[in-house]
Amino acid sequence: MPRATNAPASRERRKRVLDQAKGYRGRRSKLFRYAKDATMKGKYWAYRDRKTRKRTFRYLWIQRLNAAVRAQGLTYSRFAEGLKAANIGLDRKILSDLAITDEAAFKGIVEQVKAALENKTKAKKAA
Amino acid sequence: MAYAIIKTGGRQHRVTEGDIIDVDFLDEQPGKEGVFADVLFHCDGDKLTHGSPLIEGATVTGEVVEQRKDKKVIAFKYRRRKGYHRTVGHRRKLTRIKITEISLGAKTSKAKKAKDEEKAE
Repeated sequence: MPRATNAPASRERRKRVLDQAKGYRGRRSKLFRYAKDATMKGKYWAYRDRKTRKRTFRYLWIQRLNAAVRAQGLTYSRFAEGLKAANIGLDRKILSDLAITDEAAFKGIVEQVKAALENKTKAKKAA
Repeated sequence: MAYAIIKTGGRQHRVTEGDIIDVDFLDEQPGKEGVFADVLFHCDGDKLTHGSPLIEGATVTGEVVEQRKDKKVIAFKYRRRKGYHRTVGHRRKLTRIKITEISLGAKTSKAKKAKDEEKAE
């Protein structure tokens, strides 16, 4: 009896991987052996990095905010403390965006924060 | 240009009237209204209002344009040498909404509130 290897299915399966690897560099887009590894790693890292992206963006916003509030004579750390004291619920994404696109509004917020910080220190001294 | 910052679906969005934005799924038919009651901040020119943390009585109203799905994302998990891998596809449900109105609640209370806030600070 002749040996049946079901070649069409295998070819289809390998082709699927190679199609996914289009545009990869060198043999990673041409040879199944290397393309398979590359696509698996690609999907694995994409899944992981969708989570790390949320962190790295937060780092970026904080860096921008730090620069913006230092221009107003505060540090980011004190700014964050003041935000809490002033009960402002805006997140870092929005705040850094405001700092870039709407300086007046951002200044207004910083003023509120400074006032809240002062109140806080006053309350502490009184106590 | 007046804008408001609203919170919905765990994210904050900066919106102006006429904006079309995608927000996390809202259970409304297209053509119906969607109301966001969580308004954090409002800015009209140099007039700022911020809540603590929400502005009471303020709402942002929008019209649902369509219910749609985000691009598919593939969650691929595997453990090397353990023969384990899983592929799960996922499309986040989104609601495309057109912002029709930003309201701060009653006008008088708005002016008063701003003053009260200044005093409180």
